[in-house]
Amino acid sequence: MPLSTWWAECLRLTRTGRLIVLVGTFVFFGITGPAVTRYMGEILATAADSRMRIIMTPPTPADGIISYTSNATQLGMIAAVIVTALACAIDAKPALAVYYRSRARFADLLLPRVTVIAAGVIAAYLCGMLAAWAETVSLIGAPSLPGLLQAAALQSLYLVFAVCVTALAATLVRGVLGTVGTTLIVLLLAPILRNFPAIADWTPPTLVAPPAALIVQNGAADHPRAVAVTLALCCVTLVLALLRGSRAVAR
Amino acid sequence: MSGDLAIVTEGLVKDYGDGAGLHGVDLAVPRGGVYGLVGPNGAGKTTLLSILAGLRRADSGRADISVDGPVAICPDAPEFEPWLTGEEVVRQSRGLARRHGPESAAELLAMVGLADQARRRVGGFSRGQTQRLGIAVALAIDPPLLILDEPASALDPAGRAEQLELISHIGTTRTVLFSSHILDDVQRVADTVAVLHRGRLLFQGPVGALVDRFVRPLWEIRVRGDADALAAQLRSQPWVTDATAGAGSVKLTATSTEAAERELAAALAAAQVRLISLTPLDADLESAFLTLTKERV
Repeated sequence: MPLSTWWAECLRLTRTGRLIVLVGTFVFFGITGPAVTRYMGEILATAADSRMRIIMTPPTPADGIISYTSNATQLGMIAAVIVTALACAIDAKPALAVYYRSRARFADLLLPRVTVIAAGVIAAYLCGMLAAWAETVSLIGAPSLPGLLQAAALQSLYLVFAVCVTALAATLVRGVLGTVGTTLIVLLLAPILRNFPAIADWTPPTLVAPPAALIVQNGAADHPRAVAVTLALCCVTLVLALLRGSRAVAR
Repeated sequence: MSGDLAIVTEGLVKDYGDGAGLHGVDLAVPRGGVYGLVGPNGAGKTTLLSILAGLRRADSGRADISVDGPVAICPDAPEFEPWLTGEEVVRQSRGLARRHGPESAAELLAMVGLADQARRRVGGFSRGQTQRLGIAVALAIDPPLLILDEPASALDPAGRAEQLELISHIGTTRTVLFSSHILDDVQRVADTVAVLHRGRLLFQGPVGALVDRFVRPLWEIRVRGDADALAAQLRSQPWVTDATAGAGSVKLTATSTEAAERELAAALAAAQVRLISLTPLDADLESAFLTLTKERV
C-alpha cells in the first residue's frame, strides 16, 4: 500500500522528535511562566540587597497566563519556525529534492507539510496553555475561561501565520538556516507596524498583544480586523510559496 | 519524433562557462533496452540527464521524451528521509507519484538485494545500500523510462556485478538510460552507447560498432617455429596495419576487428605455422574510447 504524503508528514513530526521538542518547549513555558509570576516577589527579595525593600502587587490569574503566552509567542514561535524550516526547505538537499520533485507536484509536497506542522504547533501550544492554566489555578487562582479560550484561538492563528511565512521563506532562500533567519527577521520586525495608528489594529502582531486584554477584560478586546488580515496573509503567503516553489527548477 | 525512439534531443546547450556544460548534443535513445552514456568526470553526463528528467533547463535546443508514463531518475548519490524504513521509502515513492507497478515493496527490495533491510531505517544504510534502494524506489512507480546516473559507483565488485545484471534485466521490459565513467560497466550491459566528452557527443550507436570503428584490435599469436617469417607474411596483408615478431610470438594490429576475425585464420593457414594460441588484446570499449577522444578532440 502506498505511503500517503500526509501520513509521511506525521511520521516526520513524530520520528524525528520534533513534536516532542515543540510540546516540550511550550509545556516548559506553561509550567514555569505562572510559577515565576507567583513567586517573583520572593525571588527578587532573595536576590535583592537586605537594605532594599521590594513591594509587588499580588499576581492575578491573568498575570500567570500572560506570562505563558508572551513566552509562547516569542521563544515558542522560534521553535515552531525551526521545525517548519526543517520540513519545508525542500530544495535544501539536492538529491532529496530530485527524489521529491521528480515524483510529485510542489503543492502535494508543501501543503501536507505546512498543515501537519501547523496542527502540531497548535497542539503543542494548547498543551502549554493547559499546563499554564492548571499551574495558575493551583498557585494563583482561576483565570477568565472565555478570555483564555479566545486568547488561545488568536495566538494559535498567529503561530499558523508564522508557519506560513516560514514556508514562503523556504521557497525563496532554500537553505534551512537562511529560511529561519529570514522568517525571524520578518516576524520580529512586524510588531513595528503597530506603531502606525492607522494600521495598528490590522496587523498580525495585534493577535499577540490583545490576549492580555482578553484575559484581563474577559474577552472585551477588538481583534476581528487583525484576524481577517492574518487569515488573508496566511493564504497569500501559501499561494506565493506554491508559485515560487513550482517554478524553482535548477538553472 | 520517430516511433521507435524514447528520447530525442536536438542541439542541446547548457553553458556553465569555461567549456563546462553541454554544447549541442543530439541524442537519439531507442525505445527499450539499455542505453549507456559514457564519458569522463566533467563530460556533462549529469547535466544531460538532469535536463532529460526536467530538473534543469537547457539554455537552448530541444529535448523530446516520448514515453507513456513517468520518467524515474536516480542520482548517483540518492537521498531519502532517514527516519523512514526501506520499505516505507518504496511505499512513499508510490504515494508521491500516485502510481505503482505489479511488484510489492518487499519484492522490489528483494530484487535489489535489500530484503533483509526492509524494516531498517534508511539513515543507517551504507552508500551502496542507498544506491540499491534508489533503483527499487525508481522501479516502484513502474516507469517506462528509467534514468540512472552512475548507478554502480558506490558498490563493491560483487555488488557492482549484481547491479549491472539488474540493469540489464530491467532493460528487457523498459528503456534504461544510464551514465557511467567506467567503460567496462557500459560494455557489459548497454545495447547502445553514446560517448560524451567535454559536453559534445563524439559517438552514438551500438557498442559493437564503436569497438569496430575505433578499436585498433591487437592480437597475440604464439607459434612454434619462425615468428619473424610469419610477421613478414602478415605485414603483406591489406587488413594488417602492423605485425611485430617477438620470442615465439607475433603481435598483430588489424584495421578492424571484423577484418581480423575474417582473414586471420586463412592467413595463418597459408603461412603453415604451428599455432599454439591466438589471443585478442585490448579489444574493449576503453581502447575505443581512448582512440575516439584522441582523434576527435
